[in-house]
Amino acid sequence: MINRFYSLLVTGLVLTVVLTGGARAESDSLDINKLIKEVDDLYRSEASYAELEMEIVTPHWERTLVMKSWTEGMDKTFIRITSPLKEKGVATLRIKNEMWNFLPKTNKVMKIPPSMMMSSWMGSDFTNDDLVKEFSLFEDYTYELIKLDTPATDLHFINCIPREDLPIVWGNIVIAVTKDKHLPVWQKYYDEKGNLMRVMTYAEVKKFGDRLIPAMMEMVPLSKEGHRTIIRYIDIAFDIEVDKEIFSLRNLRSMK
Amino acid sequence: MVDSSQNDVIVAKGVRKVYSDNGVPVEAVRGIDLTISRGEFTAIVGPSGSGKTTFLNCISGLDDVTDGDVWLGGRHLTHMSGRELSDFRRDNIGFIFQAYNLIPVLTIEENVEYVMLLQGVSSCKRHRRVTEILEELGLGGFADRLPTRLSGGQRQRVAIARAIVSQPAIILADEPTANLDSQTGADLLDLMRELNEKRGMTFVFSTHDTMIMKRAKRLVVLKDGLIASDETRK
Amino acid sequence: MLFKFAFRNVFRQKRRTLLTVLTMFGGFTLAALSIGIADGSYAYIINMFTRNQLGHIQVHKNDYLDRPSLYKTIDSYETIGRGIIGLEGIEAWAPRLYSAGLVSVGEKSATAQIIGIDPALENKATRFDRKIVEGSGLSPEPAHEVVVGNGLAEVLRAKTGDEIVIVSQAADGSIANDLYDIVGIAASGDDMTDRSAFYMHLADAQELLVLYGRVHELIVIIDDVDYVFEKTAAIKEILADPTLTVEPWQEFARSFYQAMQADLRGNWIMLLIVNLIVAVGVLNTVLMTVLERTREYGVLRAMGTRPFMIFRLVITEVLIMVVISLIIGILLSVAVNSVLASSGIPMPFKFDYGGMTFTRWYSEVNARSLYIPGITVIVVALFVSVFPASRAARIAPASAMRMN
Repeated sequence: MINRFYSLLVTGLVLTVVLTGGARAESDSLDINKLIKEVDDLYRSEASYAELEMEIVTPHWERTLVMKSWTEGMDKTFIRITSPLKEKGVATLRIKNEMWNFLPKTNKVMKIPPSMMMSSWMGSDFTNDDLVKEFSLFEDYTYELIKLDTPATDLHFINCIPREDLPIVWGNIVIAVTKDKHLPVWQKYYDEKGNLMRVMTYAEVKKFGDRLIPAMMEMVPLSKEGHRTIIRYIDIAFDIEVDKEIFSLRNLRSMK
Repeated sequence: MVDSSQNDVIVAKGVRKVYSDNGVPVEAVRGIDLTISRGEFTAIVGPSGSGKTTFLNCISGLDDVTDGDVWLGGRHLTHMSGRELSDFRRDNIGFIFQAYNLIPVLTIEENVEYVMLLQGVSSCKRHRRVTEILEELGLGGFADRLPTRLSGGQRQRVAIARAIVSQPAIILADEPTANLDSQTGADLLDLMRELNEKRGMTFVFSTHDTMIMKRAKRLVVLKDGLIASDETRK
Repeated sequence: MLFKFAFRNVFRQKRRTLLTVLTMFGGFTLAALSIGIADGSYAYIINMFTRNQLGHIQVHKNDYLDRPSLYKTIDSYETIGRGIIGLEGIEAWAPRLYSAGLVSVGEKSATAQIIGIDPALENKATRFDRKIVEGSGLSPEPAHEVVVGNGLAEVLRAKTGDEIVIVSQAADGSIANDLYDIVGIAASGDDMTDRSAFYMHLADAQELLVLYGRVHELIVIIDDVDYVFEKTAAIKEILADPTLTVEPWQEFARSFYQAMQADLRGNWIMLLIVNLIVAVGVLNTVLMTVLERTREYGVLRAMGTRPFMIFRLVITEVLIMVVISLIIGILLSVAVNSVLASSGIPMPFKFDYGGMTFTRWYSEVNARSLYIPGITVIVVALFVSVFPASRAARIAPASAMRMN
C-alpha cells in the first residue's frame, strides 16, 4: 500500500526528470533521435529540488498532498510531505533499487520489502517498480514517427516499443510532442495486447530557471474508473548543488 | 395314436437317442419299442454301452428322445416342456439311484418327504406318511438322523422310501444294488419285490446284477441300442 | 424348508463359507470404515474451516468477495448482528473489518492482512482465544494491542511484547499508520492466514482505517450445520437489504466445498475395489459349490424340483452368507467408527488441506457408512450369483443317473 503512495510521489519525480531539459530544436528537418533525447532529458538533471502538489481523485475521496523533492542523478530520490497535517513529515528515500519510508507518527523507518515492489498506491497504476526501474526512451526503446488520424497539425506522434530483453510491462507507448518546442502533450501507455492502460496529459507550460516545461501532469489509469492523479510543480530548480546528506537514513528520520 | 390302455404304464415307440460325444454323434438307442404294464417287475439288462441307462433316461423324462415317442401313464412325454416334465416326474415317477443320492444335509425324514413337499402336501400328512413308510421299511427311529450316520443298506432303504412315498405310477431304479454287499442287496430286492407284489407297484431296473435278473419277472436285454431279447417269466 | 435346506448347505463347506463370509465382511467393513472416516474427516475439516474460522454463514456488501474493497462496508452492523442473534438456532455472530497493510518490527517488514475483530464476539463465535499459542488475546476494550499470526511473527522475527508498525491506506485516502503492542501470537491452522494475519480490536481498526461504525463482514455460527441453507434464508429475510449478500459456507467457500465434494467422490473408487473383492470371492464360492453339487442338483431335478427352485436355493445360500457377513460387519464397523469418532487415529504423515494441517483422522457413525456398503455387498453378491445359480438351475436331471 505504501508503495502505491510512493509511486505517485515518485512518478512526479520521474516525470520531473523526464520532462526537464531544454526544448530548443525547431528545425524542419526532424532528427527523431534528438527529439527522443530531448523528451528523455526534459526533467533530468544532475541534481534538482522541487516543490510540488499531488492531487489524487478517487470515487471515494479527493485530497492534495504538498511535498518537496530532491534528486541526484538517476539513483537517488528524497521526498518529504509538508501538507496535509496528518501526513506532514512523511518521507521517502530511494537509493537505486532500495526504498525506505519514514512515518513521524510512529517515529519509525520502514524498508519496502521486495514483495511490495509491484503493488500500487491510491488506486493509480504506478508501482514502486515504476520508480525504481527508470527506463530511458532513447536507450531502452525503439521508436519511430507515426501519423495519427487527428486534426492536430502541430504535433509529432512517436511510437515507442520497448526492447525485448528489458522487463518493461508496456507493449508500446505513443507520445505526442509539440512541433515547435518539442514539449510532450500526452503519452499513452498500451499493454502487450494493444489495450490502452493509462494516459498521461501534460499542460501549463512554464519556465523554471532556463527550462521550459509543462508544470502540470495528469495521470488517468483506464482500468480504474474515477481515478486520476494530478501533479503540479510549484517550483523546480535544475542543476543545483544538493547536499549529499539529504539522501541518508539520518535525514529521513529528521523532521526537517 | 398308440393305444395306451390303462394297464400300459410305459409305452415306447421307435425310441432313438443320439448324443454328441465331443462332437462325434453316438447313437446310443437305435429304435426301441417297449411296453411295460402296471405291476411289472422288469429288469433292463445289457453290457456297458448297450444303451440301457440312456433308454431309462428317455422313458422317465430325464432326457428327451431324438426320435420316437414315449407315453408314461398315458401322457405323451415327447412334447412336454422342461417344467411340465419336472412336475410330471414329481407326480409319477420314483427314482432309486445307484449311489443312493440322498441329500446329505437333510435328515432321513426330510429326504423322504421332499417330493411330497414339492407336491404341496400338508405337513401333518407328510409326517404321517413318512412315519408309516419308514416303519414299513424297518427304518423307524432313524427319522431324525442324517444319511451319513446310516449304513449303505439303510441308505438305500431310505432311497426306496423316498421313491415310493408319494405312490408314483412307476419306480425306476438304476443299479440299486451296485454299492451293496450281496446279502443287503438281496434283502433290498426282496423288499422291492414285496412292494411290487403287495402294492402292485411297477418297478423298472437298469442293471447287470444277476441277482436282480433272477428276481425279475421280465427281462429285457439290450444290445447295441436295440432289444436283443424280451422274456417274461412266471 | 428351502431356507432350512439352504442354511444347512451354507455350513457344509465350513472353510469355504468362512472365507466367503470373511470376504464380504471384510469388504463391507473396509467400505464402512472408509466412508465413516471420509465423512468424519470431512465434517472435521468443515468444522475447522467454518466453525473455527469462516463461520457457517457470512454477510457482506454485494460483490465484496469477488472484488473486495475497503469501501464495500456493512453499516449499522450492530443492529444487524442483534437481529441475527435473535433468530432461532443461531449460536453466535461476529463482525470483521479487513484491509491490507505493510507491517514492520525492527528492520523486518512484511505485508499483512488487517483483521479487525470484536474479541468477545469472536471468542464466542470462532474461539479466537483458543488460537492464541503465545501471550494473550486482545483485551475486550481497544488498547492498541494486536495479535499476529505465527507465520507472520516468524517472518518479522517478532515476539510478544514487541512494538509493531502498520502502514495502510485509510478510507479517506490518508496514510493510515500507527504503532501497536504485540500481545499474542495466533495459529488458526490455516497457513495462509497465519502468514499474514494481523488481528486488532475492531475499534482500533476502525480508527486506523477511518471506517468508524463500519465492517466488511459478519460471520454467523449456527447450532446445526445441516440447517445452514434454512438459516441463510432466514437471515436474508430479516435483513431485507438487497445491497447485502448472505451466503452459506458452500457458496462463499465454493472452491473448498467443491474440493471436498471431489474428495468424497474418491470414495467410490474404494467402493469399486470392495465390490471387486466381494464379486470375485462370491463368484468363486458359488461356482465351486454349483460344480461340486451337480449330481445333487440333478437328483433334485430328477425328483421333480423346478429349475427356478434350484435357482432360489443357490441365491438363498448366498443371501444367508451376506446376512451373516453384514451382521458381523455392522457390529464391528459401528464399534470401530464410534471409537475413531471420539478419539481419532493419528495419521502416519501430516496431511495438508487448503492450507490447514491435519494430524488425526476422525470417523463418524452414520447411516450412510452402513447402508451404502451394505446395499453394495448385497447387490454385488446377488449379481454375481445369478450366473452360477441359473447354471445350477439348468443342470440336466439325467446327470443324477450317471455313475462316473
